[in-house]
Amino acid sequence: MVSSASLFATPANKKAFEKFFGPTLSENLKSCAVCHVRADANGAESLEDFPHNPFGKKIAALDGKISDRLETVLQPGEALDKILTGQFPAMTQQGQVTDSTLLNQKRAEFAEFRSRYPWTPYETVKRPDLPGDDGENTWAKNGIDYFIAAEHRRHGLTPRPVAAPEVWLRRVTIDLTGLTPTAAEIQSFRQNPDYEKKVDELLASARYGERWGRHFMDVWRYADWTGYKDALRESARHIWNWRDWIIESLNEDKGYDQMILEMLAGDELWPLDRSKLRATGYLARNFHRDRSQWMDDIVTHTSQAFLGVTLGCSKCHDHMYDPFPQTDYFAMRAIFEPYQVRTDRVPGQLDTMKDGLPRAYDANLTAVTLLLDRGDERFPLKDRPIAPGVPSALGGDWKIEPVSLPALAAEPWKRDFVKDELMAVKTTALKKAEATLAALSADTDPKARKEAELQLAAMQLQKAALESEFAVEAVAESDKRWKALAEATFDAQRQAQLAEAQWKAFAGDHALELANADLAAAKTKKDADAIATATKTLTTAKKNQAEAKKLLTAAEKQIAAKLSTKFVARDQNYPDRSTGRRTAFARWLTDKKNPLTARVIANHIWMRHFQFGLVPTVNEFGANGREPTHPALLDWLAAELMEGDWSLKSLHKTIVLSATYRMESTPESANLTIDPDNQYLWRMPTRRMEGEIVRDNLLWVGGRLDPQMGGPDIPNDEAQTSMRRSIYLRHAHEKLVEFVQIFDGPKVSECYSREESIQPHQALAMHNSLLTQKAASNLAKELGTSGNGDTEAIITEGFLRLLGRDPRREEIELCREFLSKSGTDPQRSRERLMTVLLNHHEFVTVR
Amino acid sequence: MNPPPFKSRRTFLGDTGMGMTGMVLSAMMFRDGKAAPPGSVRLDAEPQFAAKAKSVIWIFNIGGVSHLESFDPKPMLNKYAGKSMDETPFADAVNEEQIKKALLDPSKAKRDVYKTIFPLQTGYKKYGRSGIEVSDWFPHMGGVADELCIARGMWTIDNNHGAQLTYHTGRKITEGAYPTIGSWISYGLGTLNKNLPEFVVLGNPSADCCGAAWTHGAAYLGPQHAGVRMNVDPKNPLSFVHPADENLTQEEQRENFGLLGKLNRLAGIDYPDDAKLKARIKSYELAFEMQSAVPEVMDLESEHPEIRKMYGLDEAATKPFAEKCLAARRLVERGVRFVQVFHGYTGNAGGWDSHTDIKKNHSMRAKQVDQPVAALIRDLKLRGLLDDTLVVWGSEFGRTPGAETRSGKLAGDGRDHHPHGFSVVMAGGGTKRGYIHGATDELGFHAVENRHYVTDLHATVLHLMGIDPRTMEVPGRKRLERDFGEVMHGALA
Repeated sequence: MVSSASLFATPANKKAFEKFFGPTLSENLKSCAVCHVRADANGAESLEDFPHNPFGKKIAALDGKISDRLETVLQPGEALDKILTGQFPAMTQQGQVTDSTLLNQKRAEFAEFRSRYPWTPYETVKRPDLPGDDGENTWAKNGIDYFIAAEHRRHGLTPRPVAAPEVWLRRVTIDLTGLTPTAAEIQSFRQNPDYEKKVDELLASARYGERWGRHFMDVWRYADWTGYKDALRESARHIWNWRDWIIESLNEDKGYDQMILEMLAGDELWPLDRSKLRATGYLARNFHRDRSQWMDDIVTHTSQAFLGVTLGCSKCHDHMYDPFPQTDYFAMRAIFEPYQVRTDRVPGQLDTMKDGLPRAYDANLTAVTLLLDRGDERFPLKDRPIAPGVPSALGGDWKIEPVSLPALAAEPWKRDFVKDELMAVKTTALKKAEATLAALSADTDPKARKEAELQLAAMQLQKAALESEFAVEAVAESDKRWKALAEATFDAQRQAQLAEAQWKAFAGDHALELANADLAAAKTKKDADAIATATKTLTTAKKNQAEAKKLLTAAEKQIAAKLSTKFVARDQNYPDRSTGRRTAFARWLTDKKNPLTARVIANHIWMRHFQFGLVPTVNEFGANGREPTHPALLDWLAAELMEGDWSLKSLHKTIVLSATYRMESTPESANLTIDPDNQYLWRMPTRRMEGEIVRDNLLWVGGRLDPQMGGPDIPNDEAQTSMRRSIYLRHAHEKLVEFVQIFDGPKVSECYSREESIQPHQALAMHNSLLTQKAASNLAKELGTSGNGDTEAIITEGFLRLLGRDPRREEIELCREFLSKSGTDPQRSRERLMTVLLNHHEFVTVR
Repeated sequence: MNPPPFKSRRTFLGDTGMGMTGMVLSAMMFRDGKAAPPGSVRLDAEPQFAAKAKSVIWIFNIGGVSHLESFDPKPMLNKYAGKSMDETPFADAVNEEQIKKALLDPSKAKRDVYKTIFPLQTGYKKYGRSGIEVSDWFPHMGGVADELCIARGMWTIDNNHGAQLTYHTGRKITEGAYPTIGSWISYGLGTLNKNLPEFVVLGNPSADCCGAAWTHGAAYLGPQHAGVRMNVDPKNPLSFVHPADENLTQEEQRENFGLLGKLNRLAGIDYPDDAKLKARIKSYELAFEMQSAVPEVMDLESEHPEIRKMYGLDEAATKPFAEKCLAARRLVERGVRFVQVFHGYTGNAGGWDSHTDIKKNHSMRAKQVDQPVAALIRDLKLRGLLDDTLVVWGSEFGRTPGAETRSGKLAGDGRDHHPHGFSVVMAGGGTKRGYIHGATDELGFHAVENRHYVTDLHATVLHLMGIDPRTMEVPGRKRLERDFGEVMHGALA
């Protein structure tokens, strides 16, 4: 109702098209679904009957003249008059316009349409002049307000007054940190409302990165890994490294351009910088066990997230609305075709299943992308390889330069910490073996002693073999010393193998002997339990012994073999080059000439302050999206962003210090009549906290929020008991936080903007959850012990803390009455009052 | 939707009323607080044409029920038991081309075709005036045969258990989450009651392997249309239904909600046009009602002992599913639109997945569901509810006519997954009574008559509920022909 999107205008070009061609448009061309549904379907019998892509030939059959018409509307001059007068061939059936008044009216309408700000989303951003003269703009605090005021004037709207300081404070504190201001902060700001100082303070808070990190995780589709048992289905283990990089990057105000470079090409540009490699989690997250789905996701969502275009539509056919031929889709896919994901070791953990760094790298340097017939994965066209490229309609420079990587990037297992940790494992094992032997007493069974001696020998040789591996690794194969070192390693490895096999074989025999003896003893005693245990032990011992014998035979064979250089390498090698495709792409994206990158991100940020984007369809800037309400303002913001070295914090600052952002959100009758949807921002929109922020604030206001940042994801089912911020809770397919989802939590597969529903489930979760109870209980305790215990003071403090304002007289009276009637335990009464205030509409609402 | 008209302060207070009584409004009104998907078609609770059914009870058996030993018995399997299909007159029954064409990705979905015919593991007989043949594992269902409408020509596209998701969305699991049939009903029709959600899920859904929450999700239709899981346990029937503070009495809670309502209304003085505030106030009132309504629905003790016995509540084997079937009836009685009931959750592929010893496994599972489902149909009929309640009973696919040996690794006493022909049982809601719709071939291999893809079942359900699925689309969400399905007109009364 409040946000009825149908009231927004359609894009200018589409609008003109519909206005002047509308009467002759074929009904069959008004919706994607018409063509994506087979009209002659007669009960599908098999997949062959499902139309993967019914476009192509079909469109010609629907309306042969459509391409002529489209061409004509793009031509100025004579063609236009033909359209307006109805002389264009396809329109003649509508009747020709001969009345000159009517014709002039039509010309004027068309001229009005053309006089609007010529928003051309596919052309490089030019900073627009501020509209109006200074005399008209006494209201303005900064550039934003000039554009907003211009629309106010155009539509006859009056901006709402400046909001009370505490209202602005709550709004901006939640917007920038996700948390509500404390009572002390409210009081101090009321006494000294220094807006700019407050904004600087909030932007400097580490909470800012956690707040905006979640927004970016929506746009970039953050998801923790999913799978069934050990099999990975989607995303990557330890992908939280990328989440931490997002939060840290925002907090240090890394330029948005730099963030893009690191995410898309960190492995090519900073191949040894683990901190930046985390950023390629963006690429790792797109892992899908079905490679074609993976490639489709990366093209579809990269184009939507960074460029606001639906290149995904071009998989099966040329884009129906935007200038992207089908080949553009595959050219972008070719950028990503070579990449794969690997998990690098991190210090302190040898097992990458337990911890590690998921990161992208180019695995297949000669990967070829084939055009798929009508986008169907089953029908690649062998004779249509598509080179990597970017949509030519978006312009810009594009050059691929292959990257050569440092040796350690190709052979990460040669890094010092990996070697040190491996050596430490061997050294520890050796020391343990030495200690075992030393601990044996003089009267130890000689066989046990022999076993310990053999173990020690094996450990010594294993350590020696590793030392030998390190030695040969340090020398290039072309070096003349290499052969001797390789042979020595080969030999050391087989000696170590033999020693271990001998130890295991001896131990196996020994264990078998002991097990037999135990069984015999048990049988003598006729102890049934002991017999059962001994029998089991014997079975195991037999199995172990047989295996040990096998190993020994193999090791003996290996010792007898001819000496060679074919030692066993420790780990996998990766390519020592990268295609440079993603670097080229990232540089093209972050070039200031790119028409979309800055506009799209500025629009995303605007939406998260004002509920709607200036382009309401944040992931669709193409002709099928919606027209911007303030196209020039968006361009101005994009220019500001780029000229400010892509600093997102500066952009926030400009936005939240504007007069626009300082208005009240209260209604006003005349404005409501003119602009009921507040499209032209005559008041501040009212929003609801996202689910994560509701949960965070339940922890925060009760003084329970654990400020610890970063680290592995916390199991989603601990959401009611964990006191960490919601951004750190597991978020994966089938592993979602119920409380957050009830408040329209993000979908895992895509979430460019959030919904705002109001559901009875939210009421139950808010009133009945453990989080609320604990918050209310803590608040009641604090309020009861602070101050003088005066009822009115408690009520006032409660309102201030939870709703960010003072209570009205009637509210105080209602609460006082409630407290007086709600039993004899004052703590419990206060607790119930706090529960009520936590459930108040205004607690979850940002005014 | 129309923009909110401006209202004076007094109007706001008058609008929202004061006090709890008479304040409970339908859930449709809560939606008003939320933006509809841009330009979407909303049906606003009124069916588009005469609906036969008001509610659906959708029973899903996880793992794949053998159509051969339930509702599509094939005597030829006994006649040619142990022989290769090639040695029978039906040597050409196996249509490799059709298999290849139907499966979503034959190269990845390769499974052996087992040609050694495995005889029926139970007997079967004709029931009722209709003479419908039902296997001996389902004697109670046989008892209501004259109410059943059995679609024997179903087929699907995945020969692994991702088909559980496909059965609910029409899409293969690798395509991700799509709106399920229940969510379309919720989206299209809204609620009929004042104190319960419109789409309820009972029982443990499919496991993580096979769709999990997606099998009752709403995907892009939005979370408010997803199935709400409830437990048949009056003590804990719904998430957050009971206050974490165990000492809080219902009266105290009523007082809490009372104060909250007053405070929220006062806050409306400055925001008289705030639709979200109004929706919030109303949502608390429905929530309050749900807190008592939901445990009340799940209070099966209040049912007459004879009814409890009829469902099988007195027997260990039937009790768990009997509870769900009885709860389902109580939910539709109270106006819930779509109740999705799962049977056979095991944490993996599902309880019906009988690759080995199908005789033991299937007879055990059949015993768990047969009496409760038959009792549900009978009970609905006795109460006059069967005419406007559609019961659907099915699973993701059938099972192979041949014995599964899997390259000699299995004993050959089970059946493999079989997507090429299987059965779904319907009853009531405007379907034909005592009727067989469609058929598989003599071996039960391919669906050959009135072949229906799973979305045809969805189309049929929607049609009976008075909705044309083609009128429901969300801009920007491409729907394929197969998503819509075709109504099984032949099966309709």
